[in-house]
Amino acid sequence: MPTIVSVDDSTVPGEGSSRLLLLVSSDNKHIVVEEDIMSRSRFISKQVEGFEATSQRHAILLPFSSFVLNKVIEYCSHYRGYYLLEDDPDAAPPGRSPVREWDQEFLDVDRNMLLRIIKAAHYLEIKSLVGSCARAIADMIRGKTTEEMREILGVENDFTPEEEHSPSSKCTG
Amino acid sequence: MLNLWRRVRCGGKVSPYNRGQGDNILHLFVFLDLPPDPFAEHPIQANRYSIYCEESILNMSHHSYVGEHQLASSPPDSSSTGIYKLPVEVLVEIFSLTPQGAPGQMPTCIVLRLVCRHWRDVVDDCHALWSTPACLEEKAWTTTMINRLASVPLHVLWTGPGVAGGQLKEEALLMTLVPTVFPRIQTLVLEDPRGNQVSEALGRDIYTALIKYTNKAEEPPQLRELRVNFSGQMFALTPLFNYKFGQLHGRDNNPLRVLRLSHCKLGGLPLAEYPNLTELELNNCEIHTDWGTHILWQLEHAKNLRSLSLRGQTFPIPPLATAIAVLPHLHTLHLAARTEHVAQMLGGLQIASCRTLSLAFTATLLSLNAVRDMLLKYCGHGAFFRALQLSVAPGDATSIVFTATEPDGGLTLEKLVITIPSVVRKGTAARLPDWLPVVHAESRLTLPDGLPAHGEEWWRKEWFTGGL
Repeated sequence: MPTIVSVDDSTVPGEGSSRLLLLVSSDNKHIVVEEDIMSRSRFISKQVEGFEATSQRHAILLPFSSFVLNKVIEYCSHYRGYYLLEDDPDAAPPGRSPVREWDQEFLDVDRNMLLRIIKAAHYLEIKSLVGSCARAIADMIRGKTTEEMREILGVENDFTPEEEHSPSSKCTG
Repeated sequence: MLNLWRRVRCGGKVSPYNRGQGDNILHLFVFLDLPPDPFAEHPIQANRYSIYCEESILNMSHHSYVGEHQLASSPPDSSSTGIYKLPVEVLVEIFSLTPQGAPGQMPTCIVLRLVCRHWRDVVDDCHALWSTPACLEEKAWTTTMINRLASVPLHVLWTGPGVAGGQLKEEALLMTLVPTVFPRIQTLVLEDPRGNQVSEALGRDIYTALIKYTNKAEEPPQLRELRVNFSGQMFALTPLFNYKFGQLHGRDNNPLRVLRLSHCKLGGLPLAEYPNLTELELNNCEIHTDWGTHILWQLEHAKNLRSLSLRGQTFPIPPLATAIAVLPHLHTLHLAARTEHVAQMLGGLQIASCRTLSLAFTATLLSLNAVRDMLLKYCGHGAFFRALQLSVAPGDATSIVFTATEPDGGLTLEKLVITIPSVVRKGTAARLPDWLPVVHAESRLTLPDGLPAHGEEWWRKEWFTGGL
């Protein structure tokens, strides 16, 4: 049975830092993180805006595991204080965003983890991370045949034999 | 999770911060019974937490929760995290980053839509993936492409076939597309940064066909944006909309809003026929002096112009200054040329409504006094820049802004974007904290890829300490 996990003291930031958030993962792990770090997430920012001013302890339940959440926090921590065009809600949507070297190393994980990270990033509305993950996945399927794509990404072929052999039939617009 | 709820006292309400779609966001007030207090090191007395979460999380069954817990501790199988479970927006982003197939290969959009039903539906609804017509070996697939093209608003990006062998097939496709597709094109981009002769010729054919269609069509076309850029060689253009269009459909019905031309030879540009134009770029174009003057005089007809970019142009100064002065809505002006030309142009400008000024210098000459004087002149008139963008060698940028933001200058900036495309000299950044606090509200530094000579950490430390 999942139980409440006491917060590791080493994760508690020192005095003078920004407000604290308590993030609760789906496996019931509690992670304390500075609001500043997670400000890249528009979802978190919107939630924080709703907190009452007097309340100094803020918890947000998230529907993904602590393993994934920690990766997202690692990303946000790395880019803390950085300006990334993709995360600027006021900026025009960038075209093809640049490949960041650190992101490539950060996302050098197995397929399942990559998919979990992109889902978490989408949920948390961190556009820069979604973009980097999307690029990594796009690279995986680049130049591949349909069958290879299914194999790489674990997608089931749910076409009927008729559909598979006359795919233009659905293309009616 | 269930355990958590047994150990807390909570109340709640539906939060006003719902995301608009899907589940309600619940705002719960939770009093945790959690000894020891994880925040014990901080002088916080209250033990009430505000918790925001989606309703579905609370409705999560014990079974599914345990299942998730197990997945987290061991690698899940593919069926539980398969890509088909990704949100549609994420799939679209992935697909849009997947390059189109090479000439002669099946286009990526076709390959993707053959993977599974969900992908097919996503691909069919993603207009961007269908923006590049292609001619395929199998007639059935070509038909599929044409059918899709016929059903969505078109944004045609034509970057050229790339290989000479593709020419005939592409031309054959073009002939098929003209009557079907041209009436619905909203955005047409003809460009080939590689300067391939074949694609340049094909681009010219497409443009010529478009002109013929545009000026003779019974129904007004929907073309709102045209971009032409064959950077390898100059692309001679005759005006897309001429007086015939005005006669047929009325000048005010000209749909064109955005016209971006780069590396084009312009034989004329009857701006009087483009009354709805909001954005005009004539970058690095070859314009005969007489035509240049003519174009500038015609600018007075473009009353809706909001953005004007004249990079790499050397228009005669008096007509340019006069033309810009009478544009009531102009708020973005991009000027880039050799420094002395920019400075000369700025010296004669009066831009009452301009809020975004982008200056780019292709040569780092030191005759920047005119730029500085111009900025100070605006300050003297109480002008207010929403954004000032400088693309220049770092020493020059520092010099300009430092001078302009001295107390006597009084420059008011809401946003400052500095792009430094050249190698950075270390001594420059040390001066920045002196003037950055003077800049109002928001300041940003854009670091292009490949920069800087110092590591990113250095930049972070040097630039983002001191008040940004």
